[in-house]
Amino acid sequence: MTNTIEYVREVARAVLHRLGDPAPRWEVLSVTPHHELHVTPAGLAAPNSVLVTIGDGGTTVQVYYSLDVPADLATATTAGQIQDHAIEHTAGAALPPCPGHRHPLAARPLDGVASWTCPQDPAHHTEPIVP
Amino acid sequence: MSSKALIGMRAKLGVVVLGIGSLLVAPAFAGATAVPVAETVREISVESSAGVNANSVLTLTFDKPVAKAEAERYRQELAAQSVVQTEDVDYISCEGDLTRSDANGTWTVQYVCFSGYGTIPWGFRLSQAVRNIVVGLVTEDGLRWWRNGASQPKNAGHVVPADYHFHGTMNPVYHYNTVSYQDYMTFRHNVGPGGTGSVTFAGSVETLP
Repeated sequence: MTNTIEYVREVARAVLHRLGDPAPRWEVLSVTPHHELHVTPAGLAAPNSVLVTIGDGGTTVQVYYSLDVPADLATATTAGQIQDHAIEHTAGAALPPCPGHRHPLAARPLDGVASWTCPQDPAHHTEPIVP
Repeated sequence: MSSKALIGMRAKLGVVVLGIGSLLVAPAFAGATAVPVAETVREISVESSAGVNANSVLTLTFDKPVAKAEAERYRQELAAQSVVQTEDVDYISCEGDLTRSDANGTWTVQYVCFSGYGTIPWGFRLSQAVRNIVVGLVTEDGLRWWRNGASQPKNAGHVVPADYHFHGTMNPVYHYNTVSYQDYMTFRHNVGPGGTGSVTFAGSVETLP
């Protein structure tokens, strides 16, 4: 689990760094195993996740890293959740910007690699979420 | 289909009883001597259904015990909201969307199809009746979802005002998947002596081309 926690911390830091300006100047505040408190629907198992708390002292937001799916999907999903929080806190800024386009890059697993990619054409721009 | 109200109350001594459409109170005992039925409760629940595959539950816990008659009045006020009648099974096709509404809120799901996969953006708003009893912010746990019974990455939670449009995306999904989802929100409420409230909504859809 220690390696996973460190990896998730690295993911969150890389995403915050990549979002750049005008994203909020958030830092990774904590990365901890998450324990589900609420009953799940009948026949369905509770998700296994790592909880990531980020913020700047005044604002804190939380995202999850899934331990139930392959790492590329889990990484892209976490990146997307951080991106959503940042876009919401900037009233819709395209973060991170897609070069030459007006939309933000999308976080997706591509060929086994969690990537920032142009949502219209991956050939236009694709880069790994964790360099 | 009509709304059903499933009532749960926690008596003073912590005994939980459940009944459908009526108020039940658990008997309380002190040592070996039976005492009269407890006259106060600490918790009420109202389950609201918008169809077989969509429902929500509002639970209010009180900081101080309230009289059972008073609790029943709160329950009736909270349960007396309109419910949208829906089909029994939720199917959703590419580029289609569904809206479900009950006493506790309204939620929508869409099925957006791309080449080789799809996503289900979703949104939820608390009903005006629930918003009226919320004090301060609402803490959303984050949507949990399952694809064909397998747990998928939980959506991020939010701490926001009661009129917030909660939203997220279930991603990826594919044709002919059975997708189940559930989210949980907590808040302070102003009913009676005040306390802690929660709303859980859940449903499932099957994706079609």
